[in-house]
Amino acid sequence: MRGMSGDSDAAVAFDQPFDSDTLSELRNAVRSEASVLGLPDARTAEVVLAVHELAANAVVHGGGAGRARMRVVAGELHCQVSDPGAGSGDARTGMGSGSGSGTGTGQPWPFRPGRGLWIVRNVADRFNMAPSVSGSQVTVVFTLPGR
Amino acid sequence: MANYLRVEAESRYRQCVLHVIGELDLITAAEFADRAEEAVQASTGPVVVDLSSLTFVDIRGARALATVICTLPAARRPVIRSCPPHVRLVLDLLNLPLSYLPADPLAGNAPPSLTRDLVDLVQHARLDAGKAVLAASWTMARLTDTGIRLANTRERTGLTREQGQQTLARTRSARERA
Repeated sequence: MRGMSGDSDAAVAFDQPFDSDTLSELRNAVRSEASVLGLPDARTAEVVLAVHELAANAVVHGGGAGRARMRVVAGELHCQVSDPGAGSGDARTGMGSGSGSGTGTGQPWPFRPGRGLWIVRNVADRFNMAPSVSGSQVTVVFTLPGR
Repeated sequence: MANYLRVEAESRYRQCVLHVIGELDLITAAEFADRAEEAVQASTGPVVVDLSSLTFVDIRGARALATVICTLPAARRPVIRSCPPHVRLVLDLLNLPLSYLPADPLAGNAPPSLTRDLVDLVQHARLDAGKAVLAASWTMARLTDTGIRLANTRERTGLTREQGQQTLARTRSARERA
């Protein structure tokens, strides 16, 4: 997926760590971010649902915490949710800046065809997942309204 | 842990109205199930689940909601009312077997599901009307049958009366001759 690994493409509009206690805050932040970007209410609800379900997977299966990022790339909203994987020592630091700072001990949560991912795939325009030795990283892409 | 879900129950017109307020997700699902169960057990009559103040629901929350609703006895006819579009999105995606009350079209912001609800309602009404027509035509058939039998009876009665009068006349003339 172009533009996801390179930070030079677009400014990171949003970068927020989360755990089971802060899922509600994460949703509120994603909701207001999507509104600021001019997404209609129905689309905003889908973005919030997708990011939340991915974060919930991270909380349940991926070590209890993770990091959500949103950025605008070429007229699209890219939402990336990553976690350090189950069994990692410190979930909050596990993600770091995408490389280097991960502890590398976590197991990615299983990408089984469960309902959660199916729903995410259903509401998003594109979907990309990358299990790694240091946890999981999922990106969902929403097309922004034409401008 | 922030407690961001509330369940409020009220009894109205012999119904139990359950207001689900706040955010129903994997964190609050278990608590919701307990609260809803309590409220439903403490009341009688049909159950209406009001979701107008539900600001967020996720997959696990929607499943908890469906479990509470679907485990109620059929006699309590649980229905959902005032379901916001962002909630309906999740419930529809999961294809949960739930019943919805049609939204009040005068309530200002009618959800997009209103049309479908109305179509459902019209179809139900048409079905009921069909049944009523069937019942009415059965009654009509019975009525016609009774009418025919009544006419038969009347005819026979007239015949009998005529025979009686003839017999009477014959008896009278015989007596006069005698």
